[in-house]
Amino acid sequence: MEIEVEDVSFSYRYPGKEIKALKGINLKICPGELLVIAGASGSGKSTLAELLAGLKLPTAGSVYLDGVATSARGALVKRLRRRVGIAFQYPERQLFAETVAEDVAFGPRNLGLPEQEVERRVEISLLSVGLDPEIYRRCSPFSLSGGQQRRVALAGILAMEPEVLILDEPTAGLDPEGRRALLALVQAYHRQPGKAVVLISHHLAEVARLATRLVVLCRGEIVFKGGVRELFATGERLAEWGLAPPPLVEVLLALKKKGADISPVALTLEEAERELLGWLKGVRPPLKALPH
Amino acid sequence: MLQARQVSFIYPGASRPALAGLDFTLNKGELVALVGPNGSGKSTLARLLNGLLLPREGRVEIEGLDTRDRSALPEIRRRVGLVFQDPDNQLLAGTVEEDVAFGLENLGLEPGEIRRRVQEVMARLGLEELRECPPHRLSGGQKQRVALAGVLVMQPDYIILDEATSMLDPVGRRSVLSIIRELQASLNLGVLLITHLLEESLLADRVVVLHGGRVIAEGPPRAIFLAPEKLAMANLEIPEIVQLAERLRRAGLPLNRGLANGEEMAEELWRLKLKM
Repeated sequence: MEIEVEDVSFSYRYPGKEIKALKGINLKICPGELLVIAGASGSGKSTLAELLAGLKLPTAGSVYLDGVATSARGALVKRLRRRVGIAFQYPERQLFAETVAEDVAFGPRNLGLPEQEVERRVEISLLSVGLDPEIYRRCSPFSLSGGQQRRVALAGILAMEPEVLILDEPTAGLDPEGRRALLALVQAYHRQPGKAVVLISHHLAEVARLATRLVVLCRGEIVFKGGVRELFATGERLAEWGLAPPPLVEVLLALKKKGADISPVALTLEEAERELLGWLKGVRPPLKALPH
Repeated sequence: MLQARQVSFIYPGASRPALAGLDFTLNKGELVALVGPNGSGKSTLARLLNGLLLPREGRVEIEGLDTRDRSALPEIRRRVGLVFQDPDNQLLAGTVEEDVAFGLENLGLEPGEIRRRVQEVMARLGLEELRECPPHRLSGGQKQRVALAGVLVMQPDYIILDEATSMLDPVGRRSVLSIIRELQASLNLGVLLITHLLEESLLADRVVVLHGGRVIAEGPPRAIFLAPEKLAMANLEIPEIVQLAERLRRAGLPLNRGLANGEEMAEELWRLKLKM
């Protein structure tokens, strides 16, 4: 599925005033993409996610799902909307059923699928989030750890077999192991043919490397579109946009600011090491102890 | 002083204790980071320290007030403020301003004093513009600043932040942490910062590593970073900067040990370059 956002603006209305959350957004999401939407808190990321999923309608402009505006009426747009899955912040808050299997089955059962198909989807989704159905299906979701609860909530979304999966800060509050496991499952999902993932995060250090493309929102506007290397090359603008560069980029940027002839783009420890040693050896003869 | 002595706690129906014979102290004016994986007992300790939970064995005391003494609990909870990971559980009122004032109104202070304190705290946390907004319309990071304001306005002696910065973006997190640092110094506040993020623990005076309900390491942040096996045991990631410094040392650069943030590392490298 293709999602196209055309000149979209969105305002929240409070008594006596209006706050513009998004202004003039243009964006296209195609199958095979893993799009990261980054930005400071309050920059409009979550609002954009809800617009993409058709849960909010633009104040101006349109969001198209395979060419059909989300503001249209009728069965077609309803069907299209079901092909977009969205995991809100802290999705485990929406768990409600008595067993894990019942919770995951809720969505597919609502689609009116035959029980056998519902069962198949429960099994597959639990496996794909790394929970053994044999062990977990009869557990109460509330007896599980926070990280496991979040995975159950995601299994419920995956069981709908969405073509576009939108995740709003999916790793917030998880410990490092939980975060790694969750991002690994997002990547595995993304590798399936025809799927697209939209990952909303303010944690550049964690998500930038996974992205096929990044969009940066700042005060409701798109201020950057491009790849991860281009993003880091923008250097000090990251801070203006309310984004903290990953630690390695931060070191390189700080040196560049002091006047070092150095590129701030490093995605891995190896790259950062090479860049730093290259610069240190560059102008004058290398330190004796340095390897070639 | 906030003190837990030989504290054990087990949740009803759990097979093993959440905390087992734990000793812990937090002094006024001290910033302590408590790190450890999910399930290590961090949040349980936080809740024991202000009497939301009571120890099964051992005791918890705040300036000599025992949390098992019911009559002392209101005073204990005023002195020990708790900010949770999930701000939605902590926000109740119709506007940001009302929410921040909520606890004060319950103390029976006069309206002028309430207004003065609320305004001061909102200014400190950069919330003035949002004063009229309903809290549920705010972003996660904004909500967390409101929750923090609601605790600070009570003028506590100690403040416990239970993963309270996890929903903030990195810039917002830094600004809240620097506010906390400043409050700690200017108000002589004792702060317990519970976090998964080791780099966040860098600004602490002392780091306590919790694993399986026990303290497995304790010391100044730099010393903790130099014990990677303990960190691995507690499932914590060594910050990339620490890893990079290690690589550069192995490549022959005479870098100081214990470099742990980007700025410091850049300074050090710049100095080396000038000497070359």
